[in-house]
Amino acid sequence: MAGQTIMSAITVPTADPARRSLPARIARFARRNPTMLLGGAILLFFVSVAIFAPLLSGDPMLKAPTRRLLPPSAQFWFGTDHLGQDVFARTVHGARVSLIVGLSVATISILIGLLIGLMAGYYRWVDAVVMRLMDGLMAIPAILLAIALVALNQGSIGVVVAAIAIPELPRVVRLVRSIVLSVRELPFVEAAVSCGARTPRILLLHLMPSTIAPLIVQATYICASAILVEASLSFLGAGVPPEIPSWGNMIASSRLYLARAPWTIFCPAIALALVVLAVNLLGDGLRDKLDPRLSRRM
Amino acid sequence: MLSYLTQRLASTILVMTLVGIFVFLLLHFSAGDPAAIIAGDYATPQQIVAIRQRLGLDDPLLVQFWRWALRVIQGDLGVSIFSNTPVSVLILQRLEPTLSLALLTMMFAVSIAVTFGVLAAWRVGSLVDRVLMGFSVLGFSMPAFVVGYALIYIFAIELRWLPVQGYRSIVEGVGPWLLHLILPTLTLGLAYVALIARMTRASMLDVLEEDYIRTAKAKGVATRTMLMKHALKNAGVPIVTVVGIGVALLIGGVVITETVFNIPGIGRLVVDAISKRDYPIIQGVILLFSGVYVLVNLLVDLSYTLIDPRIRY
Repeated sequence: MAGQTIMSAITVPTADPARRSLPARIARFARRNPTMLLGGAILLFFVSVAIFAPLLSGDPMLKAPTRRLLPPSAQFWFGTDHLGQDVFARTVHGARVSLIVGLSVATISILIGLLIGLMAGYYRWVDAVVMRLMDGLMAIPAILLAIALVALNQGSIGVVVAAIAIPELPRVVRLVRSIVLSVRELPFVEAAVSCGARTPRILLLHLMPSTIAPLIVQATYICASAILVEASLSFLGAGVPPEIPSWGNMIASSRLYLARAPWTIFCPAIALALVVLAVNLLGDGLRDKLDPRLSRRM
Repeated sequence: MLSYLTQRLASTILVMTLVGIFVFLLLHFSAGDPAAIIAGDYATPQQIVAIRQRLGLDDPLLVQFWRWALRVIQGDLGVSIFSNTPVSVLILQRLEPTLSLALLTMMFAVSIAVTFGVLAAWRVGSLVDRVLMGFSVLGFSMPAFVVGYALIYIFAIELRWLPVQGYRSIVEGVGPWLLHLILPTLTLGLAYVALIARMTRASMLDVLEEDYIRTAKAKGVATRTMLMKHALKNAGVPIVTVVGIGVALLIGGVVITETVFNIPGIGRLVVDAISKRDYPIIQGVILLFSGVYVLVNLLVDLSYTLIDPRIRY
C-alpha cells in the first residue's frame, strides 16, 4: 500500500490507468489491441447467436420438399438446401456444436495436460515414461487418430470431443513440463521445500501459477484447432451424427450442389472461417499481452 | 556422429513401437467386441465367432500383439473387410495420386513460403510483411475444404479454367496430370505455406540482427547475396524443422483435399473406410502415415549437419 502511494505520487496522474474512467480505459485498450478487440467482438457475436439460436431462427430440421434449393431471399436469408431445410436456421444452430466442441476440447485437454505436465516436470521417473508416451502420441497425425477413435465408437459429441482432445494432449504436457522444469530450480521453490511444504502444495501453489498465462494462450489455439478438426471430421463423415446440424455436416451433405446452390456450402463455410479467425486473433492478442517473450516475432 | 545416429535410430524405433501399441490397443479398448467391429455391421453371430477364432482374439493380449507386430514388420497390414484385398495392396494401388499431390504441394509451398518469408523479414513492417502476416493468420483459420470449394467454384465452375474434380495419372501425360493437380495443390498448401512463411520470417529476423550481416552490408555485398547466402543459410535450421513438423499438417490435409477433389488416393481410401467401418484399412493407413511422419523428421534431424556445418554430433 505504502509503495503504491509513493508510486502514484511520482508518476504523472494521466499515465496511471487506475485513475482513468472505465470508458476511457476501454477505449484505450481498444486502440492498443485492435485485432484482439475484433476477435473478441466476432466471437461474442457468435456466442450470442449460439445461445439464442432457437429465438433467432426457425426449426433447423424441418424438411419441405416443395422449397428445395431456393436462393437467399427475405424469407430464407441463406436460402434452402436440397432437403428444403432452412440454411440460416442450420447455420445458426451449427454455431452451438462448434463452440461447445471448441470449449470442451480446450478445457479438457488443458486440465488433463496440466496435471500430467506438472507430474512429469516434478518427478523424474514419471517424466521418462510420460514423455516417451507423448512422443508416440505426437507421431500419429491428429485427424487420423480422431477418425480411428470415432470410427471405432458410436459417433456422439462426447466421443468427438475426446477424439479431438487426446491428440492435443502432448502439446499441453510439453508446455507445462518445460515451464515446471525451469521454475523448479528457482530459490522460492527451494525455500518452500525447505519449509517442509508437501509436494501437492508445491505443485499447485508454487509451480502451477507460472503455467497459467501460457496455458490461457494455448487454450485459445487449441479451441480454434478443435473447431477446425470437428468441422473436418464431420465433413469426412467421422464427426457428430449427421442429423445434428453442424457446419461440417452441412457442407458434406450439400457438396453435390456446389454449382446449383453455392449458398448451401458457403454460408456455413464463412461462419466457420470467421469463428476460427476470431479465436485465433484473440489468441494472438492474449499472447502479446500475457507472453511477451513469444510475441516479438511469430 | 555414429553414436548420435544409433541413438536417434533407437529413439525412432521406440516411437514407432509406441505408435504400433497405440494403434493395436485402439481396436482392443474401444467400446464393443473387436471381432464384431472387424466383421462389420452386417455380420452374423457365426461369422463373428469364426473371426474371433481365426484371429486368435481369445489369446492373451501380449501374445496377440506380438503376432500382429511380427506381421506388420513384414509389411502385412491385414486384409480389408469389405473388398477382402490385402491393405498393403490397396495402399500401393492408390499411392501415385497421393504421392503426386504431396510432393507437388511440398515443392510449391516451400518455394513460395521461403521467398515471401525472406522478403517480409527484409522489409519488416512493409506492405509485403503485413500482407504476409495477415495472410498467414487467414491460412491457419481457413479449413482446407472451404478453400477447396471456393477455388472450385471460382476457377472451375464460374471461370471454367480448370477441371472441377478428378485425377489423371502421370502416364497419361504430364499436362492433364498437372492441370488436375493445380487446385488441390493450392488447397493443401495454404496452411503449410502460412506455417513455413511465418517461421522463415521469424528466423530471418533473428539472423538479420547478427554482426556478420552488418559486416556484409558494410563491405558492400549485394542485397540479394546478403539475403540468400549470408542470412538464409544461417536461418535454415528452424525452417527445415518446421517443414518436417508441418508434414503432419499435410497428412491431415491430404485426407480432406482428396475428398473435396475426388482424387482416388490413400486419403480417399481412409474416408471410404470410415462409412464401411473397414477398420484394417484405417489401422494400416495410420501406421503408414505415422511412419512417414517419423521418418521425415528423422531425415530433418540428420540434415542439420548439412545445412549448418557448425552443428556436429
